[in-house]
Amino acid sequence: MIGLRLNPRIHGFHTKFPTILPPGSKFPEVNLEMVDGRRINTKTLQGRKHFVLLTGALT
Amino acid sequence: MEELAKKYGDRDVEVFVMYVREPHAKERGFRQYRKHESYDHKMECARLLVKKHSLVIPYLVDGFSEKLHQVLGNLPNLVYVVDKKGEVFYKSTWTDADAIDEILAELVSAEDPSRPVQKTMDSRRVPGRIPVEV
Repeated sequence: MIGLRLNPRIHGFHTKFPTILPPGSKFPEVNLEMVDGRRINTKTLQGRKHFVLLTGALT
Repeated sequence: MEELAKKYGDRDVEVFVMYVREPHAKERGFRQYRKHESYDHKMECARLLVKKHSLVIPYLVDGFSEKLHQVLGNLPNLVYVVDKKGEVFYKSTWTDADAIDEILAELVSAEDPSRPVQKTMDSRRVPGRIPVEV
């Protein structure tokens, strides 16, 4: 039988997403290494820059 | 997104991509990619992605345990727009350049009404986005 089956784990995250860090909430500090070896800490942007953070992968 | 990064670069907006787990490793169409085995392997894959697509946007690599990704919602194509106060201004489960353009235009225009910005992106809308009212 052909059908659509949602991965319950992923589906759960979609359901929960609106309650995770809702607009107006404090965004957690991001302190990560970049592919060029430098580091970025978003705390240093506070008061100076807005930022967009996307997630991505090869697949 | 590269276009948006250029467009808003002089309006105090930084754009970052955080490289996360491979959601479709070893699946049809992606057989050559395997799940990350270590942080170094993950970094290697991120570098491959940047090189493959000649990307200019800064790419960050989340830790091997994906702690931050889990805090943010653990979905593969998340978007967060964070304002200068460090607060979430907008978020979405899907990367939709049109929507991000619209949000950034609103954000920077409100900050400096003497320099309004218009939304210019007009790519095909991608279904599946769950917008959150701001």
